[in-house]
Amino acid sequence: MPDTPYSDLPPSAYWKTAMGDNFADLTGLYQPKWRIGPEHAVATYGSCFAQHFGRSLRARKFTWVDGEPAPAGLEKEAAERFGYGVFSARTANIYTPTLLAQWGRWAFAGEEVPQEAWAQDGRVYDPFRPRIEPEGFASEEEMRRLQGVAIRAFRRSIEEADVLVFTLGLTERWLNAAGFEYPMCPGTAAGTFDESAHRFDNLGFLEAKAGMEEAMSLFKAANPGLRFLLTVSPVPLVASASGRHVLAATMQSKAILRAVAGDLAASREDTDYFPSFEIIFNPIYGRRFFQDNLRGIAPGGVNRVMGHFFDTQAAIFGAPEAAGSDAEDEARADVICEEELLGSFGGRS
Amino acid sequence: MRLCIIGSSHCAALGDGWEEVKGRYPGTEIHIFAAPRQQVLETRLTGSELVPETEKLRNFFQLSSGGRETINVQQYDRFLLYALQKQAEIFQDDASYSEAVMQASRSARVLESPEMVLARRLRECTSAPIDVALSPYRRPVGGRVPAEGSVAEENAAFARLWAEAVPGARFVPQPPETVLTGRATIPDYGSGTRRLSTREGQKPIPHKSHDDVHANAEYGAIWISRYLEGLQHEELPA
Repeated sequence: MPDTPYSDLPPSAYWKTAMGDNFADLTGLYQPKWRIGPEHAVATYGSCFAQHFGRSLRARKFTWVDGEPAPAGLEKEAAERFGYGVFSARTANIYTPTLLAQWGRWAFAGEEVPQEAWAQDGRVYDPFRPRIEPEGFASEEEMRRLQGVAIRAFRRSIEEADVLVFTLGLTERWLNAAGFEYPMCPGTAAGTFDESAHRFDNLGFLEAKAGMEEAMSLFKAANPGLRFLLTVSPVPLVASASGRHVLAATMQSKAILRAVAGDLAASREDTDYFPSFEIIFNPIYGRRFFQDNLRGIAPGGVNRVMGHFFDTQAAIFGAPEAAGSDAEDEARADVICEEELLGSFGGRS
Repeated sequence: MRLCIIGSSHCAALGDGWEEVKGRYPGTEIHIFAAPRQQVLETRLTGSELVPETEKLRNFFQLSSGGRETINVQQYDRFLLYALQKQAEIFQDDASYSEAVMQASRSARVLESPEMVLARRLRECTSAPIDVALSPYRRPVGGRVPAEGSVAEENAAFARLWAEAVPGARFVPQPPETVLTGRATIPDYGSGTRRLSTREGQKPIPHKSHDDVHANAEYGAIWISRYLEGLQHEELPA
């Protein structure tokens, strides 16, 4: 056999030996550029799946940045209902790279948040965090005041963090006439859909990458030492407004986000990629890590993903002294996912 | 009046304070049953007695009450559940929370509190009044200015929630003359604090220098005086 670039590759480089006949377990999927230890302050934002990252870090006594802590007495479950302890600030889900950039502009570039508020049944909802107060805010004044609190907390969390973990979730998004991006289509979680004011958009690779780069650039200007760990959520879309089958739309979305994350990790020293998407979404495990609806991730899947992260870090850089005992409980915890609300529209005539 | 105080390590200040002022209250007898943190929850009601479930707690009861191993509930005219949960942080800016969040937090601090567990246990065998008080506010350290907070609103909410939840239960706020601002205790009340005794005959052990929450005997004397005077006038400190 002549020598070729394939001659001396390790078994993990061949499908047959890594995934085929001799498959034992997925190992070596994550090749970290740098160590993340308990002494590093880690901020977490992104789609629903990002919540598992924050919870796992806390369960293992790592330093998770809590930029907007709950008030005294509000225990975990009640706090999470109000969006505390879910992400490093009370941003709610940030599904797209461009929404992350929008939060970045509000927090670091002095851009004003649009003067938009959704009134409903005597309560007021924040268009940019429609479920953050389950029963809505008492007034528009309260909504704006707490929007400001969240933006300042977001800023603080980025400034304090050594690592930002961002989980890219969607490319499909909804914009208002002025170009501002909503995390949810108006009328689903709150508000009213207006065809003349609200516009659907589906990010392509270049737009998604530009969104990530804009956010990263804003964050780095404030915190030059910040590093980024990007992941792609393995959770399929609840619904697609693209006109395509939801499976095709999911694959397009995930492929774009995966490519953006990979491209940034390949081109930037300060950026790494963690393959949570690959661990869940592969032919070996099939449906094993999904819940019965084949969308939600089962606790076993979350444990596998997070176990892979911590085990790989420990194998390469040595085990940290801190060790958590409540990781299983963390995986079982319900995630707060506004996008789920779209599911309630499915099958309606 | 025979008063039973059940509480945490903060009872040490209350006990020391009581020793200083008890001459002024000849008709009052006080028994303190204290153990660190929330260990007093490790009791069960047997007949009309609160009985420790651990030897450790039995020991704490003996040390703090002058030899009593159990709490004979029927013996007391009144109960004070003292310092079983922390106060909100002195830097907590209440304006950073929505009305709904503050309501949920205040409600949890009453309805899901360790004091509520004990109050319900007591109510199974006594209708005597039950008063509830939280730990002293923290003292400011490091020069950071404490937040103003919405303390008056918070105290009113606690008073209402306790009155609604348990018949005959009342919330007792921290005496205003011990408060610097918002939820901060005047730093002077932190000098010379001592730990709750854990062994018989033990010499008083001072708290560690970084302790910013336990108060001294002077604080305890003010607290207990204000409380008893409030009862004499059939009102509680404002």
